[in-house]
Amino acid sequence: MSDVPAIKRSIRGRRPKFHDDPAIDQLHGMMMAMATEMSVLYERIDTMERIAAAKGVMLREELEQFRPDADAQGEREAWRQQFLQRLFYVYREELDDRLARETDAQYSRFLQEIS
Amino acid sequence: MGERSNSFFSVPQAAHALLVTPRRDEAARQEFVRSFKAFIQSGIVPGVHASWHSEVKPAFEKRAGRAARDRHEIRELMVGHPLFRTYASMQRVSQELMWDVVLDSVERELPELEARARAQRMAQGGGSRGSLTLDPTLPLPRYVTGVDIHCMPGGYCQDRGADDLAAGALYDRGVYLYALGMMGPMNDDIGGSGAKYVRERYPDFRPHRILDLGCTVGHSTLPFVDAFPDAEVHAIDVGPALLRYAHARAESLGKRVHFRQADATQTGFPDGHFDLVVSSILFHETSGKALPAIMRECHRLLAPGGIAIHGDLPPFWAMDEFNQFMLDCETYYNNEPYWGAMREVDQTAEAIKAGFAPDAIEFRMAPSAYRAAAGVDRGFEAGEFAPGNAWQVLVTRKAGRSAAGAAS
Repeated sequence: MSDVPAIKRSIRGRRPKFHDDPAIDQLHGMMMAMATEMSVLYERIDTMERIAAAKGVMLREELEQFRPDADAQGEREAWRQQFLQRLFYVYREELDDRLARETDAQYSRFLQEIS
Repeated sequence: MGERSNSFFSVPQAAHALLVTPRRDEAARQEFVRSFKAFIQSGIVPGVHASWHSEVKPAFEKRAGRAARDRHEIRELMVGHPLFRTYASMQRVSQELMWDVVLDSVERELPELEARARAQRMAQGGGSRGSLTLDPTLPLPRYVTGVDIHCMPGGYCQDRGADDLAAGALYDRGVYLYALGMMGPMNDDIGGSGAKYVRERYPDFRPHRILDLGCTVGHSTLPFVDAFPDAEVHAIDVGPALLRYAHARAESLGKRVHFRQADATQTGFPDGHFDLVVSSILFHETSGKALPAIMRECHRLLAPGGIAIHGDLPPFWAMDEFNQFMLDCETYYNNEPYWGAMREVDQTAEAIKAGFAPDAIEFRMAPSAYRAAAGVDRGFEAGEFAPGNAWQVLVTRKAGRSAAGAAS
């Protein structure tokens, strides 16, 4: 097996540019790769519900009727806030920089100081 | 072409012994990419059309006092438009993802597929039905090796050793997703429509020998085996792993085809050897030099009264400039270097230069056999592969009395 070359994953030929900032092109690719995985997860859950239903467990209906109690609601809200904080961490860092009045020049001076 | 319909229908790809069988998550990814491609057509392309017609075009005409000259000028006007950029970027991403998610299945399952193909060869004592002849010395055309056509990683000629089927396995599944199922469960609608066209146009034609040029995995070859069961069917391509796969695929489906590694511009078969020579979406993947050479080779290969039929997408003159521009995106964004230039070639003139008489040439639309049978009605919408309800065909007949009975 080891002497057989790996199947190629990369495409021969220059990749075209669509946006002035190449990062947007790259983000499109990453975004849709993530969307693909979300679709995989959705399908898994859908499969679970259907298999459960075939076995007489009406998971989908039960999920629909499920009402979280106050503790559960609180935990969910905490989870969502944590999730949003992580999702927007770049904004948080920018805000922290502003609050601390951090500038690029300050950072450069710090670099020189350390080295 | 009447009322445009953007509906897609989901037709599962027909299973066969050589086709990858995606695991659950792999299948979910592949279905998602197919849905994504369909969504780009139904959810983004109409907006790009609208941006042109209601915004960019009127603004340009007001400014310049004239209409845009051609698809190239439309391209200059549209290439910076935000929605067009998103469309083109997403289309490219969908194509890259498509191959990538199929590769997961191919990498996992290839050893089994190769073992199956080996067992099949052994069981049949070296080919009791069709055959496979590879030529490792064949020079590979630059237009096939220069870039990976339609972004298929490894391209048509990737060859990883004597048993390698990777390029074929990847192509077979990938093309089904690419065509959004519009080529039928066997990916065979171009061949099927060509075969149907020949049978209906020439009901007495009984070809003894048939040759398919640029057959890849033989998906378009097999309808000719079905349409002309008494004929000896040959098929050539330049990609060795494609041909190994094509042979194993045909054998597993019980179809007798003789596959050979050869270049369509210089096949090596004797003069007048074939009554019917066919190609399916081959022309646009060749070059400005190769296309006329292929036509000359067809003329040489045909017996007197023999017929050649080549199926592809319509030429530019058959659509308006904006659709030309949209269709031409394949040239720029999908590694299809000859896609646009080929659509400007006067195929009838080329056929005449190759030796066919002007009154023995037809350039017309052949109704899609599959979509007619499935009751699907679609208009031509550039920006996608699925070409409405018909394929463009060039049909050329060689002068002389046919032993195969073609009415002249």
